[in-house]
Amino acid sequence: MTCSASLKRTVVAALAASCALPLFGCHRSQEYEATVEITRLSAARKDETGKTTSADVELNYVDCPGTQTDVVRGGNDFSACVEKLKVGDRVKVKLQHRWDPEGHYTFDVLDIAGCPRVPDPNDEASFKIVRECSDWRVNGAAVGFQCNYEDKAELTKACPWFKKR
Amino acid sequence: METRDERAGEPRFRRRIDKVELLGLVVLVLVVLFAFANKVGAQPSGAKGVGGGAAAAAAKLAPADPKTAGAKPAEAEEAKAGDPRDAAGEAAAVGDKQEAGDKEDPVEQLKTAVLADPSKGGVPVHKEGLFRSPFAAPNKPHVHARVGLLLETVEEFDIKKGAFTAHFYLSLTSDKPMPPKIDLKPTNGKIEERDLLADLPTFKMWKITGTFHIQPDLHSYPFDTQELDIELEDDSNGQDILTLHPDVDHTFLDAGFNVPGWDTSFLRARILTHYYPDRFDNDDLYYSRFMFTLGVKRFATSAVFTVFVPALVIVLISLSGLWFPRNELEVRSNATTPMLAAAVLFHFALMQELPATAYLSRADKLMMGVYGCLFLHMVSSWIWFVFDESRTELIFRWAKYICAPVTLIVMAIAIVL
Repeated sequence: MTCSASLKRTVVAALAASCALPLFGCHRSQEYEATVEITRLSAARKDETGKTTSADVELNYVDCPGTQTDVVRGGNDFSACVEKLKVGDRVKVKLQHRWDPEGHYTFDVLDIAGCPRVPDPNDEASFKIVRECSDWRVNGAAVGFQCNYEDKAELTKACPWFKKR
Repeated sequence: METRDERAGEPRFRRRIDKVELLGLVVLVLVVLFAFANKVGAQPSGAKGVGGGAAAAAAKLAPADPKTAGAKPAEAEEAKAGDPRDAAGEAAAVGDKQEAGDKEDPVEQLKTAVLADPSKGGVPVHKEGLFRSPFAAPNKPHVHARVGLLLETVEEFDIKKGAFTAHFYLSLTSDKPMPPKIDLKPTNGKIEERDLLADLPTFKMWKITGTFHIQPDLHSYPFDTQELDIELEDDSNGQDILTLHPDVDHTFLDAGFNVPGWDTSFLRARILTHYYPDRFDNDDLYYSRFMFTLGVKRFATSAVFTVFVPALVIVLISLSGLWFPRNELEVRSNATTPMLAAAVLFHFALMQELPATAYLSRADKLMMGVYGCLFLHMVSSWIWFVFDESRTELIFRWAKYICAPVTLIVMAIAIVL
């Protein structure tokens, strides 16, 4: 009888723990600050007066291992603000690491050198190239290269906003 | 404790046993028949499907470029003669200029070859240079070209056929002028459309759409990573005049690139210094083959929920039957035998999506574990009819003690393997 009651308690506890699992699995956003190098600045769209209404800024995360390129497009105010920057500048950026409904983490650039940017969920022009390339060797000879797109421990340890899983 | 069957007496007990056995046998026979019919039906239709698909693809692609399809010249000529409209289509797709170049190049190279000793065969050779092959070009300058590839999209990836369609940009750059006629042709597929975007001596670029074939690796299915290969080779320029090098700075996936249902894992670009087995005497020329590989991995969450969860549910339902005593034999059997049918159907549904392999995938091993567990659970019921009725309770108890942990161990092994 005691054994049966204990078994029931164990089963109920296991069921309760299973139901509570999703609570522990919630995906919280986190903000980071990083140093980047500006590698390209260009106007993507201009109005009839020649004023830039949309600008692209290409960034390289210089403190992160591998090749990480981020092309960020911003609107009117952002475009006017980033005009003060030039290619080769090393500046601070604010990032938000968040859960993407597609089933992985991603991050948005919220601010470049004091220029705030509001990410637009319909923006299809901004993109990231996050990869680590190394020589591909056969019989000891380098015959090409391989670039990995998956999470790498070394990268995510140094720059946690690149963590996807 | 006396069971209901024991109280009922021997004759009634035997009648019930016969019914259960009969039910089990009928279900098993139906399952075996269904499985056999499914397999017999699937094999020819699968092969027909693949063949039909390939034939359809060939029929569609042959007009675009019979030469790139790897057809022999005679076959290509036949294809052209058979359908002039298609030949015209090919010319439109590839370009008259390029087509003319393809025909001239080998002749030009063969002009410098000499027939050294007719008694040793009729193949002329080059006496100068590194290679004796008649297709060598000892008097032409040697050029190193860098190959860049931007993969735009991958579509219609069919793992059963081992085929996919890719849209990509291909660029060749060099510091010295490249041979005037360069035609990189796929060695593992067919080109549907090729647009020449730049044709300068030191810079050439194409926009290409083609269908390529791969050999899927299903050892780890459903946690498999597939390598989608695009292999290109210029068989008109040997390595004596053109050496290719992969260009890491200009090999990318397009912004927003993704393969539906798959996670991008890696890309690889390499050059294979390709040597053909002797096609004729002195066939010693090497060729540079550019090999681009996109590694895609099946989403793990999807794999778990579509393969592992159903298999485990089948085993758990069957396992629950062990807690029914002998007087509930029908319920106990109904928890196990229909699960065997479910497992077989589930397994065949999984196999329908994949090509036949000479090895077991992880999913196959999992299903072997499932079959083993279901067999064990059925044996735990059948064993009652082997031993004396006085041991009914003992068998009931020990069936639980043995089968439950063995099921867990077998399934753990099946999942890990």
